[in-house]
Amino acid sequence: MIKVMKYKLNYLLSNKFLAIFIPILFAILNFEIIINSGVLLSGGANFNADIKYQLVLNNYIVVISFFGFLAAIFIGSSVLGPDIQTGNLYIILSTYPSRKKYYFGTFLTCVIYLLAVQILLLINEMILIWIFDIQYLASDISYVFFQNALNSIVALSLTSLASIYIKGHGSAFVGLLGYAFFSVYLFNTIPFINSNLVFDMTQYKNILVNFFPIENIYGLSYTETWVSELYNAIPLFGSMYLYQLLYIVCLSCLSAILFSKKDL
Amino acid sequence: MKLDVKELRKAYKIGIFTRRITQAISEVTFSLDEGNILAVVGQNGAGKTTLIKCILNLIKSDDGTVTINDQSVLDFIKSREVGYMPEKLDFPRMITLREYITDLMILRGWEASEYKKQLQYYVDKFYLTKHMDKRLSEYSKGTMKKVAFIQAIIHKPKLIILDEPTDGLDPVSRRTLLKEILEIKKNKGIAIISTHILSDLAMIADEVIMLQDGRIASHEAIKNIQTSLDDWYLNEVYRSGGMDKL
Repeated sequence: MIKVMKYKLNYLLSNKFLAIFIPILFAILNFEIIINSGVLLSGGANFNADIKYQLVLNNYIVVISFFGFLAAIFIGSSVLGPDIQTGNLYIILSTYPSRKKYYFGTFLTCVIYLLAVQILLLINEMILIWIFDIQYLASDISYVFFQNALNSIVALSLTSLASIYIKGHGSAFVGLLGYAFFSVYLFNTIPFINSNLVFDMTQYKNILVNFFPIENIYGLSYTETWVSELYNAIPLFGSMYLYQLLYIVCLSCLSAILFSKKDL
Repeated sequence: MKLDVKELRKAYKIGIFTRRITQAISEVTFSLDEGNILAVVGQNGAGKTTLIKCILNLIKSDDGTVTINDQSVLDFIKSREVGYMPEKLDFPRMITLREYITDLMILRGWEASEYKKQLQYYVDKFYLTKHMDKRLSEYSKGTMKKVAFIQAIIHKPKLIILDEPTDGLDPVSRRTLLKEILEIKKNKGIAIISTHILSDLAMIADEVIMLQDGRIASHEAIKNIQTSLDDWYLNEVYRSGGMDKL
């Protein structure tokens, strides 16, 4: 499996889209925090410590939850899709016959790559916090980091399952549909156009969340508890961490089984 | 070494709702001894690529077995003794030939020092020296074919399966490629080639299988038909009803 992981890592590192998108992700994070938060604008120095911290934290959440999510679904679509499209998979499987090992090898590599990007984003965030000399709560930062990492891996798992059946990076659209689904059941909003649904889906959020369990990490931005509760869905087992871990394991095992049975 | 294919059968279900069944291959049985080259011929859609993919376990057959030296084909593939050149070619386009071969050899568990010499040998043979560090996206169809062949043969496999290997190649490269296939025969390997170019198989094949509608219409030793290969091909197609509409 190590050989597969080396091979896939080589692919991810030489992927042109990722080579452009990942630096842009860092640029957006820095732009959001330095410019968009207003900390450096005239009067920014007068912000009190709480406001500064809230601005920096909110912008970090926005960048990693939306743009990080986009990165996750693109990386998820790289698990098998490009190899099937190019026909390279035929060559690979004619010398490396264990499809389950191949799937888990590529899946794990993509997860590690995604986590590495998120750790670097976290380091970037901490450097900015240090530069601006902002008092921060370690529990907030660690909650956002771990929860977002799990959210991203959930999206990656779903996209990688789709990549068995959809060639190239087309399966990224399944990830986008997942994001739309999350937006619908939690906020009753159609994403990208910000239009409200006529039929209110939020009343079914605790059922729908089981199909695509994403934790709303924007919760830290809400100052009032009732808003937090409104935009919070509880899955079957109560604990989102536990449910997400189970979801990832089950989905990746299912993907490996389906891939091993698929005619290529 | 001996390849045995017994009663191989595969049907596809076509259509999301209708699930219409199309029999791709049925009751395909043959065996091949070491040092032999088998050519698989047939009209388009006769089942050549399905047969090849079933042998390589890329497609799960509905029935039948494929064994090599009495062990399953999957166990044999694990020994890294198989080379495959697919018909469809669209390799990762942003990487160079050198990087591509390196990636594949990592998967096959080879160290760089072990295949460097081999790579240089084939690159020289196919006049690819100046292409070594160019991206695959810049390659012509013929050059891509050469790359596909090099990846299939570089690790000196005992079983090599080539799907339309000479299609789109210039005459010099075609001759070089056929010579390299003959080298496998000399080393007591087995080669299976699917092709439409009859003159190629006249040069290298020992046996010919003609597939018609997924069944073996004819299985002959090349020496029995070599004098009139074209006539044999047309006769077999005619006999099996493939030219009724003409």
